Amino acid sequence: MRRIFTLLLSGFFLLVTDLAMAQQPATKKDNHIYGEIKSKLGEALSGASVKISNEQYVGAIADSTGNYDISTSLAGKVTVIVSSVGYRPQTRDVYLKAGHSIHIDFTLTEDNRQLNEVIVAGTGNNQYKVKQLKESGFNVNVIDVNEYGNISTDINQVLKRTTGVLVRESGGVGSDFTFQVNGLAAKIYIDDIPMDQYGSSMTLNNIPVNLIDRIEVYKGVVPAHLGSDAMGGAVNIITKQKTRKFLDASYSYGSFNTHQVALTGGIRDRKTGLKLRASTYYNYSDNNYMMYSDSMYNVDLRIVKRDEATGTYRQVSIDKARRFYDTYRSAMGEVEVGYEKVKWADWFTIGLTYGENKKQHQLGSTVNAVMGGFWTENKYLMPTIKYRKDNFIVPGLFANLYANYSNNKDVNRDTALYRYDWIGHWAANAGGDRIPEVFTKYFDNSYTARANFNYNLDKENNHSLNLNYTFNTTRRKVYDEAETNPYKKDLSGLPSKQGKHIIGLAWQGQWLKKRLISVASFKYYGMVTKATMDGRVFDDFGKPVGGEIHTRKDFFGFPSGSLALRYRITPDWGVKGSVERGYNLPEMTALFGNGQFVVANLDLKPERSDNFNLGAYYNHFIGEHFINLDASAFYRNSKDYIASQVLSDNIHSQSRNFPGVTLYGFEAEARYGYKDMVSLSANISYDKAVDNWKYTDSTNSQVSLTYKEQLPNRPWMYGNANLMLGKRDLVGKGTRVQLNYMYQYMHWFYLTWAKLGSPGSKNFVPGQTVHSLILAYSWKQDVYNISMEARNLTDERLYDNFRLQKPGRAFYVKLRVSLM
Amino acid sequence: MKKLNVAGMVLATAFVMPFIQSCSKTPDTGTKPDDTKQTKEYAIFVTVGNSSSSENYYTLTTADLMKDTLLSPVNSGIEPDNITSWAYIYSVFYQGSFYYTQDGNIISKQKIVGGKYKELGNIVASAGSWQLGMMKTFFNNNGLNFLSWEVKYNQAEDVIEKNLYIIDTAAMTVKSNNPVKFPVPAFTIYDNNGNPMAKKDIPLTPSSFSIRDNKAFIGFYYDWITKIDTAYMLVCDYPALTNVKLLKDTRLGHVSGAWYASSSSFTDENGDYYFSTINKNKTYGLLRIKSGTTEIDPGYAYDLKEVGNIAGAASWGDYAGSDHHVYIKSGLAFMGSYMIDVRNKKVIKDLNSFGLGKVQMTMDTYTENSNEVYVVLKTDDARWFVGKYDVAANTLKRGVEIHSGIKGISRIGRLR
Repeated sequence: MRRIFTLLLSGFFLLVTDLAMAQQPATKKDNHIYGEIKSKLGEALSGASVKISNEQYVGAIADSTGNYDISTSLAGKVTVIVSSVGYRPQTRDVYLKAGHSIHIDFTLTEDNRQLNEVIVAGTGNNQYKVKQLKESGFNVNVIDVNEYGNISTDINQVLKRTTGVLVRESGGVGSDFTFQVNGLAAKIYIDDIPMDQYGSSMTLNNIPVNLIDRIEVYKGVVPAHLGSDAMGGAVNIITKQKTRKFLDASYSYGSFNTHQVALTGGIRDRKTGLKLRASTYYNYSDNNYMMYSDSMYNVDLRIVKRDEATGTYRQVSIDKARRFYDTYRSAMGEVEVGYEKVKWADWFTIGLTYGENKKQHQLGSTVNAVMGGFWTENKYLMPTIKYRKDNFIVPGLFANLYANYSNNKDVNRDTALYRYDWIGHWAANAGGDRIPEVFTKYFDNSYTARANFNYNLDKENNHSLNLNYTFNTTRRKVYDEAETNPYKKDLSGLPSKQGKHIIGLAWQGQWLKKRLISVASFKYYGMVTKATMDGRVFDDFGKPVGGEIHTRKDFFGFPSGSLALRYRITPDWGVKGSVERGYNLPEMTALFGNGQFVVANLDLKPERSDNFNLGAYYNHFIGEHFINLDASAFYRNSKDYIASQVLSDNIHSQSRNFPGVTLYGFEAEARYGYKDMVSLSANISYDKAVDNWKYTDSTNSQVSLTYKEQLPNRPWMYGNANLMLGKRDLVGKGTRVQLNYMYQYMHWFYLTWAKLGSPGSKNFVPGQTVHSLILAYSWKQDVYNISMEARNLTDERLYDNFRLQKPGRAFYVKLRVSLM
Repeated sequence: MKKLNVAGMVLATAFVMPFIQSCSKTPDTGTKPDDTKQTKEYAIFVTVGNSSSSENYYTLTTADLMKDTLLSPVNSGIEPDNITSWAYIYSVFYQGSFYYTQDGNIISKQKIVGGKYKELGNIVASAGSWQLGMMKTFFNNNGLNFLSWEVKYNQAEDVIEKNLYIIDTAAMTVKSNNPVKFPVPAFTIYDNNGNPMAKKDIPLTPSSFSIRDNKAFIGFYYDWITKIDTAYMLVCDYPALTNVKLLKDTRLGHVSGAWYASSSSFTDENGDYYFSTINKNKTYGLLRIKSGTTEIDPGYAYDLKEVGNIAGAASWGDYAGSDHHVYIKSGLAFMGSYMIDVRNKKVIKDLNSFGLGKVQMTMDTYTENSNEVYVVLKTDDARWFVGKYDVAANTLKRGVEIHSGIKGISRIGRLR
């Protein structure tokens, strides 16, 4: 598409130039400027245009080998301008002597600037998609992750900067987190594939930004091609994919001994279409940041000390403590081989992904539940096959087929046998008695297949039908390796199984000269769960003497429907709305636990939600200034709302169905840009979840005091602001200096019901502001980059969860080579 | 000019954000005087919410339990510091102080000071496995006595052990923690699936606990929910915990009572120890161990079938009788909603018959002057009241009203 567009544009330019030149009186053209136009990876940029500044009729188009030749009668100093779709324009001053030729080669850099800049410049493939998505019928935020290429960060940190997205982390790199879009647990996809297919080594908290091209955050109705049980929202992470050669390599180092390496690249043979793409990353962090007691927030770090006078062990308060058992490392490697843009396939690849991580767990659910020997490990292997073809079998039919198998292994082990306190001493069992060893293994084998077909109903592509079927089945076996009884060790390996079938049919239409876009869809969700229960009887020696193993099966099936509309009032203004009844099927971990902190709940039911979204957008140019405004509101009425609840031991949690929860809120974002020199954005999100459980008991005689009250322990107002100032060629040709200031805000929220309890005694998570600064310097047209980042500059105490402090001030430096 | 104004507005909006922080780090506690900061005479412990979403606990304080006023947890009541439901169950309130278990291995002593709970001391266990998880508690001159949650099968002696901790509550030290040795049952215990349990897996639930005449009395049943119609009472020397003797009685079912702080037994002025039982028809009974003896009185068995299941109104757990029984004076004891003359085996009064509301089950029953019994009343239209029953006058009066919409009231207690 891009190539066609390039050729068309070039052809148009050539035609205009030739026609124009034909109308000029013949002049003697003795002088030549010639050379080659390439990308940074050495690819010839066929169709690139070359012209001489202020000379309307003097120019050329690069041929298929990237060569150009301009003949001109001009002499003296002239400025040559080179441009190509998707690349930054370049200018070069040359001095022409009469009758002479000058050889100048150009190497262009891919344009990955922001949407507003791109619209100004009219270039950028990724930005074109961003714009396209934003103006589709869906309520979607699209994040161009290339903006974050010089920042030492992961996807979570990027996502939490967008409206309506709430990420709550319990610590530093690789820490546990929860993720919500507009108050509901959103499904996450990588290149349209549900992320739960990947192991825990590939999650939002460890994928480096440099592997990612853009992130689409859908709110309300989700496109049919994301054929899963995404309800009320979804996140689709699009990895870097190019039809030509590309390479992006980066390394960052920072506070708490944090290292991050990321490498992605690809090549494609133009003649045969054979392509190879590979990506890898490695993350490591000690996460040994300082924790503080803070009387303002009632945070009280404690250690255990022996009272010498009485011999009694006691907890005593300390001012601060450094985390001592929280290292995290993760690594991933992915390779894809296949063909692109060949006669029989637009895309056909076979891929293999391997990932692993190892994580130490410093804390349970509370700040003094300190652990010193509990670690988890994950390894997964996933072969994939992808096939895409336009005009598949019949003209107008697009097929997108995908299948994978994944083998995932988790190990949970506590080798310490003791409880610890904040200075790393044995605490609760300081007397020396050991607590039982934990050693469990979880094996998940999963198959996923997805078939997506899109058929254009008319030549103008105004109407299309999309059929999607997704099947997924996961079989889990659990082994308790700490069990010494061989009979019981064996029984711990009983399998659990979950199967999901989701079929969706969507009709997309464009009406009123494309001012109105509609997407109506129907989905059917089916879920089968099977848990194997052990009813065997054991004697005092652990030998089975009777009973049997039996299975429990459950099936859930639900139809649902949705409608999404976008109406463009003027070229600048538009409104969007969607309505949906959706289902969220429980995840494997929620159903069967994970052997770490999540306890199984076999009675967990799918969550149903009626979702309504309404929004408006405004895009406007004033010369080279760009303004974008987005605002939307949502309402969700949820039944059997699934939420994780901390259990009474304060260590484990379990997903449970809440009888009724209503969620509502709004969000707004404003962006301003001037060329690629200034970018300023600010957003705010407000969402509330209200308890709809009316009565206090089964007699339905007493309306609960918490009925219609905001659910406690969840943030409800948060926002971000970013300011970017950049200047090209400030310290030399081809350089760029950029300063980013990033600001995050989260309003305080109560741990318990807001209206209950005396204000002075209430527990709360404090309001927080995070200020970060990033200074980046690029040279050789953004090929080489170095950046320095100061995160949480004011060393603010940050808590997403009650008293579980996150890292304080941190510094990072990042080196990056980008041949895009 | 107009163009610049639009851009300026956007800029201004963005830059306003950082300044929001200045007033929003903590909730606004308002200018309203916080009356919970004054040390009041009494505390009422209420629960709000539901266990599947978020259940929280608030301590309402009042100078007078009988004042005609409305107490509400709305913008009032003291919120405990990070205490969840288990802390209320694994807890005991005694002479104005709370003692509760944290993480199964820490006992914390707390008191309300200046409108907040303040820790006065703590003890950390020397080992894990819920050693300091409190089950049945009993206060005497030695301090706090409690049976530990931890249970062990001692293969060498073929007994099931549960430690009895004695805590000096002034110094917050462990005075002793010797094991009480329960015999392994001669009959088979079955799990929820109907499978026989191995000895090491058998839970043991203490239901009644008292110390008298240097003897400890522990009513108990094996498993969490007993299906045996026999009352078991263990007697041993206190504090040595030697000379273990197992008493059995088949007349009125098994012992009743939950494993936590609520009491299902009492001792009268004569030193006679009464403990309640419940049979398979879920009707109650009372048995007695007379003063100076270590045998169940064969001449005393009070079948309370006329009052039915007096724990039917239970809010706290579903074990074998989640009741709380308390002795008043002169042979009178309060059980469920009934005032009962236990010596003469006679029901004196059903407090529900006053028509002022139904008596609710609580963890403790607060009494004063061996004459006034404070109860929690809930009306048919879901209004909650504290009621005072005057034993001598045989009258029941409503006192403070608690805001409707709470889930329950667990305790009434005196703070000073």
